[in-house]
Amino acid sequence: MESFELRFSGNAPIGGRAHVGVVGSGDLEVLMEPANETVVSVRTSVDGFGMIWRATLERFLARNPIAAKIEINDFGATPGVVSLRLAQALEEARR
Amino acid sequence: MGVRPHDLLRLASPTAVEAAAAPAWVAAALAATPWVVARRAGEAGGRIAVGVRGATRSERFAAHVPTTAVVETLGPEDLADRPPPRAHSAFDAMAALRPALDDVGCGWGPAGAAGFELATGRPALTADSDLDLVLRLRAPPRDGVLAGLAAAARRAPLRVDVLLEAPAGAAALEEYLSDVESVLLRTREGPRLARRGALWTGPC
Repeated sequence: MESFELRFSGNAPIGGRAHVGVVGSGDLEVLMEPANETVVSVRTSVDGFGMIWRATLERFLARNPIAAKIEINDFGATPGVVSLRLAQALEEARR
Repeated sequence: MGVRPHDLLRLASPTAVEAAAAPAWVAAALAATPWVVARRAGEAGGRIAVGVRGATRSERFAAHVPTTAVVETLGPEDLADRPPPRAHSAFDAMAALRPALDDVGCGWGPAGAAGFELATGRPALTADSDLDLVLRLRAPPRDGVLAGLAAAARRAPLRVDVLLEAPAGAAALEEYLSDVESVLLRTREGPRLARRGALWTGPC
């Protein structure tokens, strides 16, 4: 189990809150809510992938420079699944 | 029928796994239990995409095995009726959910640690294990059936994850029943977001 926090500079407002994903192996939960600054808190069951997390989040937030508080509870998802869940959370926040 | 995701494959030899850059625990795990689990990427060119299970949750290793190295294949359905090798809440939950599962779809069975333990006889479940179940469906069941199953699963003494294996791919039961617009669909080509209706297009 590993936890860390990453900060990004985004300023595009998101509509509302979102909660997507599943608490289960190979998956993750993403909670997203409007905020003044972009802080991502990651809790993951798999240690040692900090660099990959940073790259995956950087890619998503470069494409979507949102201002949001993002909480991630990860249960060993692949970067592909992480990216999809982030996109899904944003889709839900904008509904 | 070819190899399907979650199938457990017994290998003729623990060294059949193509794992040049594998961590040390991989060889030890295979020497003790020469079984691997088929990944969704499946079979191509005589090689099967597999995962090796270690003792802990973070010990999972993706590799390939030659098709010819597989001497036995057990899918989740083959394991549903096996007597549990020991007492564990996962097996109790499986027994309790059996009527609800028998009522739905075209087959079900355990995957994950419970499936591995039933196939190999080796302890894989731990005190904080979930129960992973696979439920095969050709078409959406009648209204309320899946909600009933999910409610029964929530009453279990441990966390139960039901994966719906549909013609187009797999989705989590819990997410399928939630109010999100699209769900995560796991396919042979990789995961994608899809509307629920997309699950039902394709061969079972």
